[in-house]
Amino acid sequence: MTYLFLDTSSSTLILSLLKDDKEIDKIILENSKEHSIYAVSKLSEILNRNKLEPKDIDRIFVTVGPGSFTGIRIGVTIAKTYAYCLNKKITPISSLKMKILEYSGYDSYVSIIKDKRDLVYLGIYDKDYNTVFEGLISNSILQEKLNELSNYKLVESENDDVDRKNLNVLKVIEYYKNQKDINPHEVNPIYLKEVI
Amino acid sequence: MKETYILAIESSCDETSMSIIKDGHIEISTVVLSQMDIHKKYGGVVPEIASRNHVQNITMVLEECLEQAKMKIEDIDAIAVTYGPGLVGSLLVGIQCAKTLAFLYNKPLIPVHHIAGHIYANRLVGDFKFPLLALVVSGGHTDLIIMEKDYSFKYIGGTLDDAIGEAYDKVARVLDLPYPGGPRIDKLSKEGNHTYTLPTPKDDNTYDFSFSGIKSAVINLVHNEKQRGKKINKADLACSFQDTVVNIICKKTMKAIDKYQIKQLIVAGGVAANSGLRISLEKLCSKAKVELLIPPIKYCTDNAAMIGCAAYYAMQNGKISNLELNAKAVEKLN
Repeated sequence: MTYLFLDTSSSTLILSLLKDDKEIDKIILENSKEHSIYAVSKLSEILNRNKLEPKDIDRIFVTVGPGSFTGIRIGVTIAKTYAYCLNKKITPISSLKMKILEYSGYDSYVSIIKDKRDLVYLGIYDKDYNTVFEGLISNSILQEKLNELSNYKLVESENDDVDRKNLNVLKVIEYYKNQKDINPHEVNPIYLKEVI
Repeated sequence: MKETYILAIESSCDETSMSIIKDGHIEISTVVLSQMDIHKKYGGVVPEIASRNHVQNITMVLEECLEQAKMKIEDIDAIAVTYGPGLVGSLLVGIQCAKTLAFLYNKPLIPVHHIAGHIYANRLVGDFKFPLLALVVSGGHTDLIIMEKDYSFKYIGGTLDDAIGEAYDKVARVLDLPYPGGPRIDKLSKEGNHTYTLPTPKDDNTYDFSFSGIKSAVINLVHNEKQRGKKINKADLACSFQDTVVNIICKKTMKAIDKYQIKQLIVAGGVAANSGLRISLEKLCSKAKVELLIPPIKYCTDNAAMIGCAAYYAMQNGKISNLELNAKAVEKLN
């Protein structure tokens, strides 16, 4: 099985190809404000240099948020168009949950993405990475939520997530390949924040 | 000759639209998903909401467009997309979809300027006769453009401040008419008379326009009358405003027709639906013996059919992009 992983939910563009549970190639564009320019051309590049046709991909994994990074809709649009046209399976990935999947041995996991104001995107997961809570909350409530937990692993990142390049894609796919794929029409960014 | 089918995408503002056009002028299928009702309650288009809705709708619009045409993307010869001008967050959704399609099916990608699209909406209803003058009137534009051949544009003048459609919307707001205000003023003006004296905007020798002055004049007039406790005759004010702006647009358009020995006048953009403007131009063109082409109202507002028409001629002129095409919020047509 050949999988494509696409992440435009931070300022780092990640494209990864996985085959038979191994990561066979990866493109990382750090600190890019230009996902809009490069995402499709890099997708073309990574398939070409691995001698793959678009139809050779069996399943697409795309990060859908939550978060306020506007580039997220670039990856989502590409992935849903791809999956719809070539009738591929598509699985949305939480940009909060994917950051804790490389850790194990804790009772719970907490992932935080700081927003600009006094707000944080918070994800709380149990020992098997099942979602207990995902939402946008104020900083003051965060401590209360953390006090309820014990033996937890906390992963924290900024809105533009400069460390995204270190994401363990293999661990992310290991988990998400057992999650459900959904109808491409229904793959949409999770914003959590109302516009007005 | 082999037929050419183009799949076109338009998402520059609040309409998610796709169309399949054959040979640059035959409409096979068009889907326009308008977000008008969503933006209505805010009194105008909210860019972030528009962008979110494009992402949500894009593949469904594609599916519907292909189903209507009973075609597959494999049958298509090229993918076209509006790359600007417009709202960046909206444009980029259409662009990502178009680039993905061009990549997946290995088809040429044709970037189309939104205003070129509005002009080429007229190809759906008639042939072009050069040299032609295009009068582009919309919420973002009031431009006069000369074309000596296909897909060649020479800008001779345009608005220096507000676009005509923008002035209509602001005047409508001060008269408490619901969004979008342009069509309401047009309708109301038929029930009134030109009784209010308003300044004629930029009545000079250039081909440029200015509508912020007359817009402010209307707003001030309404406020002053309110303070004096007088009632505004909305129909008369709508009529006075429409008369004044239509007159100056017609005057400069006819001057350009005369100076550049124009064979055909083409009207494009959302305000081309304005009945006052249509009637005046019909009279003047018939008198000047110049052919007038105005698209039906459904092609005046944003749609992908016009983008598919323009793309055919853009492609013939070698306008093909690589996969690094980006959205341009502001972009001159040339």
